[in-house]
Amino acid sequence: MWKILVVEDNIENQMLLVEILRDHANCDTASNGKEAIERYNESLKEKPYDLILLDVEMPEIGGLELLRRIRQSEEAADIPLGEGVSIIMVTAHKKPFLDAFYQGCNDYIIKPIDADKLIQKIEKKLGPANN
Amino acid sequence: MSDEFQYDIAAVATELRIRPEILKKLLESFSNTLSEKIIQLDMLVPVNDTDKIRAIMHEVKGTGGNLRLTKVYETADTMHVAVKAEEPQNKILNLFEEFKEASNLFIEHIKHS
Repeated sequence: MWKILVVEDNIENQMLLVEILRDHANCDTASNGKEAIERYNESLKEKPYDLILLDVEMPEIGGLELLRRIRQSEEAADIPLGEGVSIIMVTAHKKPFLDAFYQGCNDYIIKPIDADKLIQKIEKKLGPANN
Repeated sequence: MSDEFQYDIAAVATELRIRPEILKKLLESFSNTLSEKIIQLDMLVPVNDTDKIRAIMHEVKGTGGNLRLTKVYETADTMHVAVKAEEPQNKILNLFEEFKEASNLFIEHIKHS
């Protein structure tokens, strides 16, 4: 099973993502940027996340800012560029956003979520989930 | 606009790869969320508070689309685009009425199911 952090402020979308991934991943959830950073830092002490699904538009700390902070924290921990946690941005914006790639996101998926596409994108990054 | 709400829980659950009973819970939860958002929009739209309206429409569009609530998604998307483009107030008000109509059909359906 993959270990995934789902960062999404909307409860229905959060529950939906966890349910889609139920046979593939052990998911933790965070409803805002602050919670996400706490979960991410805690995970480093035990088993780091394989992947973070990150909503773009959230109040206070938005997805892009959170992405930047995670990559900064990896840089401070001497994790080589490209070897940090995989991050897939989840967005309702229709156009791809280059800023996210400049900040170090690995991929993105546009809402409405396509469950098959989501799982394929994660598999592409992590390989098949060992159930 | 059709006054009938049509939704196939089994088909959507299959498409989303989720259990129908979980989809039902998500729909009930979103119905409550949508009712609250409409109350907020009823106050925000007349005073043209575009930042808050835009944020609400963005969220509703995302969830409505994810749950395959086609009319809710389409009317929210149209209104979201219009608010972002700073379209005239009377147009936003009309689009809001269409969004409310679509949302209320869904909310009523959930109440009676």
